[in-house]
Amino acid sequence: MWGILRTLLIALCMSTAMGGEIVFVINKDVQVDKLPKKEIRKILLKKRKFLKGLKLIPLNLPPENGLRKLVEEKVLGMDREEVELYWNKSYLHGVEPPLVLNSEEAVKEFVKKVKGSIGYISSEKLDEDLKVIYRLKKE
Amino acid sequence: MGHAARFIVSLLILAASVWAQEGVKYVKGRGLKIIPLNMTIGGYVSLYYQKDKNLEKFGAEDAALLVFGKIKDRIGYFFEIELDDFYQVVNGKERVKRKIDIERLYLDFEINEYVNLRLGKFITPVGLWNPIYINILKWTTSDPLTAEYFFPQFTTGVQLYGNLPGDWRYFLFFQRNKGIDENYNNFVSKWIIGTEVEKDINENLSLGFNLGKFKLKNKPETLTFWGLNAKYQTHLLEVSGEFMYAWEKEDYLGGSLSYRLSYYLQGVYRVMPKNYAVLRYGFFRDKSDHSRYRILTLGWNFRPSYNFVIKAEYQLRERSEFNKFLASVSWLF
Repeated sequence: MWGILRTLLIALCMSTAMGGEIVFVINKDVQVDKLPKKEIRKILLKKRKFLKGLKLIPLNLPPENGLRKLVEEKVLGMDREEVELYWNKSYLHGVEPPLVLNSEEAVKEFVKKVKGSIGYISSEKLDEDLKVIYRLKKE
Repeated sequence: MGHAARFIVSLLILAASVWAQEGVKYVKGRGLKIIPLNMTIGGYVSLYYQKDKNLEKFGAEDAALLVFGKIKDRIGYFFEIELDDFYQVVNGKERVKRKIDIERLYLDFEINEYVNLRLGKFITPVGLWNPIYINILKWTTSDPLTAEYFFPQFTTGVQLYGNLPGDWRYFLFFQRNKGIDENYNNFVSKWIIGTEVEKDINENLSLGFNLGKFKLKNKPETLTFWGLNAKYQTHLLEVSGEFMYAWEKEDYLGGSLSYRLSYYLQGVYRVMPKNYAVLRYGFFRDKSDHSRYRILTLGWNFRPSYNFVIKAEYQLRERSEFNKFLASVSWLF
């Protein structure tokens, strides 16, 4: 009986972790409520540099991170090979890829401290000091 | 030792002295980051081979060093020097060139989303090909003729650029001064004025239009050019094309007008990961000397790593004696 319950509990936890949303967050003091996916894409690719007069600092998670893979696939619409070729072009014009932070916690802390920064985290890690500007379903 | 050589040596000493310090790291294909100075040092190298009926040559096409970074939050700089064709073997004869050229040198002022200012020597922001003329960025070793005979590839002056509502982008550029390393350009100009306007129709399709005029230095010709370009891109396929037209006042022909036009259509297909097949058709016609070229290029582009590319192509020309094979290897560091 306990074994079955434990299995069900693990399955429930896994489905919660796999499901849910990725939220794009910005400092709560920035006067922006929502942005469409198209604008998020431009910000991540550094094609858009400002928001309400603020210089934007897009943030990324490490290349092997599962959220990053989903963001590349669903927001950028690119696979890793396409992403790297895109940044080759930008690099040779002096534009570097977004700053990479090691964890979602680091992204949260950075966004809270730096007003123009935009990062993404799992919705489960959201707290009230961050403002959500775009939601992406994980599945 | 020239100024540029002294600068390189100083830069290398600087890089070496900060290498072991905190806040310095090398990222493959993205340069050496010197975080305390907000500076990146990187570059690229290309080797090539070319063979046709009368000519066989190989060598180092270019070796470039880039330095860029931020002086302040909204003020950036970019500097690129290049050893161009510094070692070649042409039909068995060795040629060595030891000239360092300043390819780009500019300051960027980011004012807002709509207006940004660039001052110095920069790549002329015209068309699809010219902004990506660097070997590692191109799908083929060769360039289509639209990129060579219609406008100066570099401008030394002022550029205003930015994004406009409705997914529009614009570039305005002016030059009315001596160019930096002005002979390192396809045209040496007395003055240049021009614009490029681009529109993203959606994530896959973008269109562009350009218009400009320039006066050749120490020559009577003034050229006016305009062009159209389009690019369609999906995961596996990229189709792009450009059309350029220029008319030219030729005083030595009694002030009469001459024209030249060129276009290309290129398809790139990702056959398998890291492997791309390229097919390009290009046309060029110049009324002044009645020349006409039609070139069909078949190419292969292999990228074992994002910062390393091996390319090979075969050009079929109207007169088969001018058919050509080209290959190159490029490394971005």
